[in-house]
Amino acid sequence: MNPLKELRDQIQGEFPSAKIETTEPAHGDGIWWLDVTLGTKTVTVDWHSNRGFGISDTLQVGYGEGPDEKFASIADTKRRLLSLLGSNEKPAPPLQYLLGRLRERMGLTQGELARRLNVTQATVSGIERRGDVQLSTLARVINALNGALEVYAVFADARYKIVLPGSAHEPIDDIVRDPIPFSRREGGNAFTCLEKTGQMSRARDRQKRILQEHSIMAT
Amino acid sequence: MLLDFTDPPSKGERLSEVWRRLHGTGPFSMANEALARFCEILNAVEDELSGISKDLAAAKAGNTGGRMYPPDEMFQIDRDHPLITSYRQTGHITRFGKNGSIEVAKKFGDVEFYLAGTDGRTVSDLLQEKTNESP
Repeated sequence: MNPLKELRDQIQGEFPSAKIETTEPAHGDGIWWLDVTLGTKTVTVDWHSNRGFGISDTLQVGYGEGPDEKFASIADTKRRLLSLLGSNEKPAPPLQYLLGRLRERMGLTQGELARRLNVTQATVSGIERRGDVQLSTLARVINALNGALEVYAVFADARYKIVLPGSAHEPIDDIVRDPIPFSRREGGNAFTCLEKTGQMSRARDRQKRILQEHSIMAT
Repeated sequence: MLLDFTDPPSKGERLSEVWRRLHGTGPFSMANEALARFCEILNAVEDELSGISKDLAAAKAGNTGGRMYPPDEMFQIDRDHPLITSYRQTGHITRFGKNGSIEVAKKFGDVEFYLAGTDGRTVSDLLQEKTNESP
């Protein structure tokens, strides 16, 4: 059986409610397409005998570009496709193409992003074309695009979040630590003070994030 | 060079330039002519504005490197409409009518560009004719 049809059957088996559309090539050596829609999310898979599988964001802005991600086997393609369909993650091309795409998605020119970063347009151009960027630089660029960079060390049995210096997501200990005793500074009990300063709300959000991360790890 | 960008143009701006030049060059009278001019114009705009060299071998392998490429035989789909040749690329379907008409539509969205053939008929008109002919 054609590998793309095999993948289609496997995905349909796992997600009976998924809407799957197959597009056949006009010629024997052409590209096959699979558009998989689950809920509001659509991911496009392509397959060609010489280049294997590709996964792309169907709604990408450009025209006539290759797949965002490439895979050799049905198993790897399926694993990635299921992961994308089950989350809000989008397929991502290599770093040297990703940053420009994210900037364009935000409707920013290189010059406008440069002004946000307080650097020159040439610097932004250089960063976007590099495949290897310092984490601190990457974090600044992502922050300037109104996002946050998160880095994980992933192992077979667990993953660990790496908290970057200057990250907006401080460890929970740092959020609740306060050198001034609450009763002396504000009066009243400590929880009231934490609520007033917003620290309790931040701690709750952080707790929720940790629980979500652990629930992902457990699956 | 008609554009004056202080920043490198985005893909959206480059595509708009392709549409502008096609409107200025057409209409065309045959599908082959329309396809050839479409490819020529898209390649010219990318050569001038993308800053990314054309690498057909890499593109065939799926590594387009941020440059936009026109369709070729590898992307051809649909053999069932006698008046239209269609090409599927990741997010778009490009149709060329036998009368030289062109239509570029998002796979899941609106028509982004269309140009009628020299006889005044669009791809949409040709599709409608087929539908009307059906019993």
